[in-house]
Amino acid sequence: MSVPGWLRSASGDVGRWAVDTAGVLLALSAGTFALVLLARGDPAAVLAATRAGRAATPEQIEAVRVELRLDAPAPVRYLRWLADASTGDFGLSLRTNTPIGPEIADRIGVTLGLVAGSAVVALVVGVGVGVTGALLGRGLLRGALRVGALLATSVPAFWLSYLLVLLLALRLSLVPTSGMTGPASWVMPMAVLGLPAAGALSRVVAVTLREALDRPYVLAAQARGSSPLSIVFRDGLPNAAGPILSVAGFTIGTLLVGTVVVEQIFGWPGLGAYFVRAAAARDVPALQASALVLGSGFILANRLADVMQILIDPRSRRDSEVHARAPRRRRDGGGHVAATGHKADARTETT
Amino acid sequence: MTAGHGRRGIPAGLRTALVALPLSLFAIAGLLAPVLAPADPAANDLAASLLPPSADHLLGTDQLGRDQLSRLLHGAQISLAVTAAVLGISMTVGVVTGTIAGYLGGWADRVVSRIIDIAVALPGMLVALAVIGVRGPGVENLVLAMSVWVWAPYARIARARTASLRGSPHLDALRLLGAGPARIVGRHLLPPALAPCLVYASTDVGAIVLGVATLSFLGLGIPPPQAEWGQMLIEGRPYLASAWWLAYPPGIAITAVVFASNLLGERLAAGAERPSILRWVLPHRLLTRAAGRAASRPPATTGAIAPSTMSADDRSVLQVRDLSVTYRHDGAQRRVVADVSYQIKRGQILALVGETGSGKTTAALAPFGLLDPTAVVTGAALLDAGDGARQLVGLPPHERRQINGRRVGVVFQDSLAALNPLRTIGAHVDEAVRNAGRGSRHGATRQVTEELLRLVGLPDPTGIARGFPHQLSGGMRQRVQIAIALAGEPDLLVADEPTSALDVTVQAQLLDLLARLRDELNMAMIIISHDLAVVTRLADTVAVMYAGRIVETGPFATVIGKPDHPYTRGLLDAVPRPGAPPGTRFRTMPGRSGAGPDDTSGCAFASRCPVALPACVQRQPILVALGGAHRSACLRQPGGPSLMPEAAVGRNGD
Amino acid sequence: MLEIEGVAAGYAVARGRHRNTVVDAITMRVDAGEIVGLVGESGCGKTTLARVITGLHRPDSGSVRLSGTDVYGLRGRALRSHRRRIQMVFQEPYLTFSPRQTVRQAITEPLHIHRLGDSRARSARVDELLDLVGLDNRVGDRRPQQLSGGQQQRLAIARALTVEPRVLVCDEPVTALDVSVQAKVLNLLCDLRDQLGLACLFISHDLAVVRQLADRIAVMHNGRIIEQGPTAQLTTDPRHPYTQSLLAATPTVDLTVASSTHAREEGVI
Repeated sequence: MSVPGWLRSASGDVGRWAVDTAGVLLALSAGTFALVLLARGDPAAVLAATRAGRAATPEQIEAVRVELRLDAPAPVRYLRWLADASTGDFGLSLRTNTPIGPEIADRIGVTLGLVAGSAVVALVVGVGVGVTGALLGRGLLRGALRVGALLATSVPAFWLSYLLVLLLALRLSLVPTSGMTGPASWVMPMAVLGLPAAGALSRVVAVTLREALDRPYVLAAQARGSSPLSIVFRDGLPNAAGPILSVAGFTIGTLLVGTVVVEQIFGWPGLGAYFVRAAAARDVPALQASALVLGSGFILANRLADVMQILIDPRSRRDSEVHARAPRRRRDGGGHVAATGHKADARTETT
Repeated sequence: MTAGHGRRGIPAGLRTALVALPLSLFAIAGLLAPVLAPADPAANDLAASLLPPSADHLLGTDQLGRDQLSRLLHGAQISLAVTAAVLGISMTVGVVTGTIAGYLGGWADRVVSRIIDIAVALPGMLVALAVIGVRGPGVENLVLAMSVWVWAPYARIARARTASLRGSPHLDALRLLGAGPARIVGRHLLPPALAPCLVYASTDVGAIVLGVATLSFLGLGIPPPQAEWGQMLIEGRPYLASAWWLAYPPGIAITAVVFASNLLGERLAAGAERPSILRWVLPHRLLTRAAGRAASRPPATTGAIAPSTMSADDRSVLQVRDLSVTYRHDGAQRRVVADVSYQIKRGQILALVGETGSGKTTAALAPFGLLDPTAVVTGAALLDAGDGARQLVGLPPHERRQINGRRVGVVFQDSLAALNPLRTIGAHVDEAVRNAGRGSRHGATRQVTEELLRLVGLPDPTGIARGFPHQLSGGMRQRVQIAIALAGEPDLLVADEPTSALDVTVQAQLLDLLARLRDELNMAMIIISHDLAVVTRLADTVAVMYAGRIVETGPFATVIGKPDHPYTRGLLDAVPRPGAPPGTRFRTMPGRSGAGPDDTSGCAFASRCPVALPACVQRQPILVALGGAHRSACLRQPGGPSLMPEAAVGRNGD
Repeated sequence: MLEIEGVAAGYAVARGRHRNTVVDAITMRVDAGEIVGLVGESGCGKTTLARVITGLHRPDSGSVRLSGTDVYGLRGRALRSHRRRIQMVFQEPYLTFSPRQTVRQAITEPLHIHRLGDSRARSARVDELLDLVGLDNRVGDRRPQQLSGGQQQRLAIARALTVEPRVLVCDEPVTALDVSVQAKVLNLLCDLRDQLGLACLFISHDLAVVRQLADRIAVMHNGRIIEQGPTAQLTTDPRHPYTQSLLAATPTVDLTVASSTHAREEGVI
């Protein structure tokens, strides 16, 4: 049994995708490393001061500089930093003089848990509201869903947390105001993180599904007597899936970044809170480490959505022996172009 | 349609302005904060701390006794300044970079695109936090930190827009006319690249305001004591339960600005929304009730014709009487098809011929409910399909599915768009076979599918069934559409411009196929075409449409050989003749088409007609029999060609 | 007027080093006051040839000569002033105008580019051109996309004529138009040829249109010209089998044929 043709060619696309992803991750790491070049002040001086508990002498600073290998040229330091980082060694925190790697390993579980929980909120609410909105006719309910979704995307997370604290914690005493103390303490962080994402997702789902259901193939399906249910599930949703997937990937990435705010608000011991603390203290190595981890997560979530899109769309498979010739266009009443397609003997796009 | 009525009162421009109102207030507050603010936002007065709203302090005071309203206004000022700076830098850098890369193409474009892709892929807030983390808080660092990631989408939008224009005929024409790169980029690429960027910016305002507030809330944006909305919120946190006036106003301000910006962006980006597909399952009565108001005057006969009076001719597969189709356009009801009647017998082909906007497609698809859901169809359409006649107009959707795909098959013009790109050819045909109630098990269905594909002349049905629409040529896809239409062994096949996008040799083969199917399956067919020449080989009868009405109909040879209506004559004159010597001018009709059926009280063609009588502009002509089935809607006495001297037909250029 | 000799052209295949040749060994000429039809099906290389002729796409080999001067041998200012002599009319007129310009601005722009005349002379020239192509000068203040397809194509022709070309290359100029509008635009092209002595290369997939319009016809297939000759000769006595099949497939309203095949139906209906 040989590999089917479409899979082979899709694997070509997947290969290119993998190379691209590696490129973006490499760019992220280079950018992250470059932060040290942007930094004001001398990291060696900061760490030396932390160790000494007061302003350090030039000798102490020089010793730290050698220890941190800050004397090498930047490209060499980048490669060393990258090599160390790939083994989980991110060096010492300037703030606490402790290794960063274990600290991140401790905190990442909390963050991933929070992201997973709010991703469920975002996907269930977002897709549910979006599909409902797409299928509803113009009316009060659809308008309300739309305004609600837009409002959810517009409310700043930190202010939403205030409102929830006032209502759920102070007024109703259902959940604790902060901390990670039990199942009830998950409610507010998940809601604060997940609901704005759900709002954004639902708008995209509604719009793309509506567009997918507005295409000529839906009319053709009606003409062959297909049921509305079959049209929504066989023609509508699959054709809307591409954009929805990529926004879902983006949404999950955004959740990861959003933990920065939410963990800070609710006092959760996650990576986001660590990142903010590092930023506030100008703790460059800790900042670099957490930015690299969170950034990689963000990029991977997005890129995974892209590769799924490649896999579901047969048009992206390159074996496609295209006999397809470009149709000539005839102009329709309202200035629409009746037949789509590009002239076959037109220039091949290079991008 | 019903819910839309209420909103008609407010014009679109005013609604956009209303949507943007919070943004305008934000801008005004930001610009005029020093004038508007009643007090110095930084003036402490510990004696007056945490005062609730009063006449002195409209929004109360904070823990240091500072006037909240003044702080809110100054917060708007700083937000506005940072937003303007970030947008200014980002849009300039982004649009210029993107436009130039898109214009240059080649390796420069590839390098810039790569950089843009990477920049867009980075998490914005994280980048901003990291930059501030190493540079420290403050306005300048804030602007830098935001601009580092905000520019990228603008560059991408501008590049995409420019790249799509790069190879367009528009630029080709300009190059041929001698335009240099500076003119092309400056006058013809930058403005169209800027427009979508401005739309995007309307949403980005919200994102930037939110970003600034978030960074300040985290203590990494605007440092205290400067008033900033996010900053005000942290300071108010300890008093959340006791002094509500500290936490609400800044939060509401941020939300309002971001919400307005999102809403405005959505309004500017989106076109007119179309009605929901739920209309297919809603009872049809809701729609026909609206139709009562729709028609400006009632059609000669209404939809309530008893089937018995109409099925006089038992050989007619489809009989359409007084069919009208109305759309709502700019708030007014507008008919696009008016009182159209036609019939079609088994084994015959009716050609529905007309130019763009004549309503031919609408008239043919209306009986089967295949129009935009807003269309209101009145009149009668009787389908005689073996088990007695069915009235099609007003049929509820679930009953329609007993007709569409079973008794009637439809072939659409654009075969690529009419097939779902994600499904195989086999899946399409299988579904049609199942909808028609043939082939219960999967194997049996696929067998029928392959038979159908073979019937329409496709080689290797098994292989084709596994293929996707984009892998086939236009001619093959059109054959697939025919196979789908034939799945239910229909009595009637409707083909909308089935060959207009195809090469002539392929077109000829497809027309032969349709003729063969008509003969072998004894089907009735309606072929919609703009080209009389295309249907010459096929049509038994023809109906010529102009401005939503049938102006002449009859046996094809009679209508072509002895055209009566001046429009039919004009149409025939425009068709190239094989024997004409090179350079022979065409006889042409003055004026242009595009009128609707109810635009004039008389004949819609009167203003272009070389032989119009004064009465033509007042009275609507009706179809009058000229002998046999040949009928024409012209006020002149039927068969009076003496009234139409050759000289009256303008010879362009002579 | 226009001589094309041994032209081959193609495109670099993405990522590859080799080129994909789209047109090959094209030799043809178009004289002043003559309309030459170039017929071929989609994908045969017609548009690429048009771009080579107008100077938009450099050929891999061969030469394009206008009044004896090799177009691709020129540089800079000489090239620009030479380019004026060959203008093109495109298939989709609505794609060739900026939606931001009015009709008047669109036609005036070439005059600005070449610094022709002062503002009054320009205005007069625009009126003259609009009149020449049969457009009411009241359309001058409208936007091109507000015009009908036929009017847009007239406008495109008017704009091409601003720079006083000697050769007009028309790439499928009537394909997007209704037949009655098509007839008017074809008449206009004939008139312009007669009035201005233009050399016109008319590219189309539609042999029916070309044979009523062109003095000579060249048939293109798979990037090569397989047959060319005077219209009457080529349409009555085609030599190449492809030309024969193209002729056979071209639909026409032939009254004698129509009435004989459909005679049987007349009594029935």
